[in-house]
Order: sequence, then C-alpha cells, then structure tokens
Amino acid sequence: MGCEEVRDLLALYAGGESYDREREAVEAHVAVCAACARELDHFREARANLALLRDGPVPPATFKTLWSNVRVDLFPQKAANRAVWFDAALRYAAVTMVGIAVGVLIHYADRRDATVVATSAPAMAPLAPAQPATLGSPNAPRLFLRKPRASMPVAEFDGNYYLPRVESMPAGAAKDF
Amino acid sequence: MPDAAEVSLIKKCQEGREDAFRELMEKYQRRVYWIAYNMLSNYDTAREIAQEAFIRVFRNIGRFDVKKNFYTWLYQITVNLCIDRMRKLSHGKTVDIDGIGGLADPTPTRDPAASGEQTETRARVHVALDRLPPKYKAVLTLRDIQGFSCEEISEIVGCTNATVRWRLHRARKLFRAIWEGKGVEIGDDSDVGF
Repeated sequence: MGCEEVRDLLALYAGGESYDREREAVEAHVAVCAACARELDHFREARANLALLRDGPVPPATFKTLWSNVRVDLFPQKAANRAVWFDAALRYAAVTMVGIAVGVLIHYADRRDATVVATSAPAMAPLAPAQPATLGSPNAPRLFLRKPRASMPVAEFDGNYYLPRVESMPAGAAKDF
Repeated sequence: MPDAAEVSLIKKCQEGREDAFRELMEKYQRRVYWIAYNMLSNYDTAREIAQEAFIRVFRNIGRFDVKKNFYTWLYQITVNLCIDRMRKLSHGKTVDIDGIGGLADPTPTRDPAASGEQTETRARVHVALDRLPPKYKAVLTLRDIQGFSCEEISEIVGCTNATVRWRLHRARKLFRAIWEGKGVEIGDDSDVGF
C-alpha cells in the first residue's frame, strides 16, 4: 500500500474503527514511513484534544433547575399545589407584617404627641396659675388619637334617677314608699 | 439489553410515576447535558435541549418498547434536537474557513498541570467543532468525546454502521483541517456515496 492509500485510512485507524486488514496495512506502513507516522500522530492529537471536552465545570444548580423545569412541565398539578401553599403563606405573612407595622406606628405617634404636649405646656405659660386638667382642656394629655365626639351625650347626675315620678302615680294609689 | 432495574423503572414511568421518572432522569441527565453542550457550546442552550429531551421522553415513554435500549432512544432524541437547533442557528449557511488562522497552538507545551492552558485548548476545540456541519459534529461528539461505539452511534443517529464510519472519517479530516488552519470549504453536508 502506498502513502496516499494509507493516509486515507489513518482517520479511522486513529480511533480504532479500522477493519483488521486495514489495520495491519497501516501498522506495517507507519513502521517504515516517518511522514505517515507523523500524520497519524496529528490525528491522535486531534482526538486527544476532543477528549478534553468529555467533562468539565457545570454552572451551579444546573441539574436542580433542569429537574424543576421538567417537573413543572410534566407534573404541573403537584408543582402548582406547592406553589399555591407557598403563595398563601407569603400573603398571610405580608398582611400580618403590615398590621404590626401600622400598630407600632400608631403607638409611637400617640406617645410622641403626649410627650410634646407635656413638655411644651409649662414653657408656653410659666406664670399662669395651674389649672386642673380636665377632659377636653388643651392641657390634658392626649391618651387617644381620636378626639371625643361633640355630639356624645354627657351624663348628668341629679340624684333622682331611682325615684318614680309622683305625677305618674294613679290618683288612688297608696304612696307607701 | 437493558437491565431489570431499568426496565422496572421505565415501567413505573409508563404508569406516570414522578419519583421513577426523577430517578431515571438523575441517571442520565449528566450525559444528556454534556452531549448537548458539546454539540451546541452553550450552557443555557444545552440545558434547554436536555430539558426538552426529557419532556419528550416522558410524553412518549408509553410507546417505548422496554426490550430496546433506553439510553440510545434518549440520546437519539437529544442529538436530533441538537441538530435541529444547530440548523436553525446556522440557517444552512456555508462556512468557508479560508483565511481563518489555525486553531492549533504553534508552540504547544505538554504540561498537564497547566489548567489554564487546558481551558484555552478546550475553548479552541469548541470553536473548531462549531465549524463542522451538524451530522459530522454529532458523530465526532458521540465517538471521540462521549466514547460510544460505532454500533451505538448508528442506533442513535439512525443510520448504518458504514455511514457512521464514513462520517467519522470525514469529520476527523475536517476537524484536523480546521484545527491546523488549512483552507477547507465546508459546505457539503451530504454523505457522498452513502
């Protein structure tokens, strides 16, 4: 076999796919032909370089993402159920957090108002005689954000609430009380 | 011939069992991913292809004959998806590598500890591989990178053993020409004589 014919067989020989007859011919030829032996080395080197791609670094979480995506596509109900529970839990947590935040804000706003009134009142009128703090007076510390409504009935005690009215008694009835 | 444990797993998958499918997927996902990555040279696209391959496998597993090799069927789906994707990306254009410098290092050093050099070589191999037509790239990936036998490759790519050998022969010659920067026009994607 000449160099031309042997070189045509080298690509498969380098990978071990040659038939027995071809393999024997190539081995006999490269043993005596340096140029063809060099050519064979080039093919072997190319194969070795390709083998470098066999394994290598994989981006993190590649296979985890792969499974989760396949699962969502193939088993949507189970994946969706889990998502619904998670979603609901997140919503409840968010609402609770907002509620707590509003409560804390109200609490601190009240405390700040009361502090401002208590510290600023004596400074504004240092010589004025002390007045008793009554509900509704400007000096009274505010305990609630909401002011008492003006239309709210004021309870008055006249001392006669528990006595029946004499005029409503029948004429002949004995007044034995 | 598939082993009994795998047959049992496939039968469970045919019943729609999620746990069985997960086990099957864990067994093959790495190989599927690497075939796709070697053919497409992109991590995200490789993951997409692997995902699509497993989805197709599960959807069609009811029609799979358990007497056949599961892995050749799975890799066949993967390779076909890769070839389709490569054809879409290249859109049938002819690549002329005249004027492109050789990818082989002119002064190669043989120090296996030099991982930086190995990374660089790996990148250059990818560039050279990317210039091959899809069907040559497929056989080269399956044989020289993944180490399948010619019989297995012929099952995976769906052609005869002789065609696989012819494609390997062509693919190695083309790869070497690209690697060494020889002027080769790669436009003929057909198997001459087969």
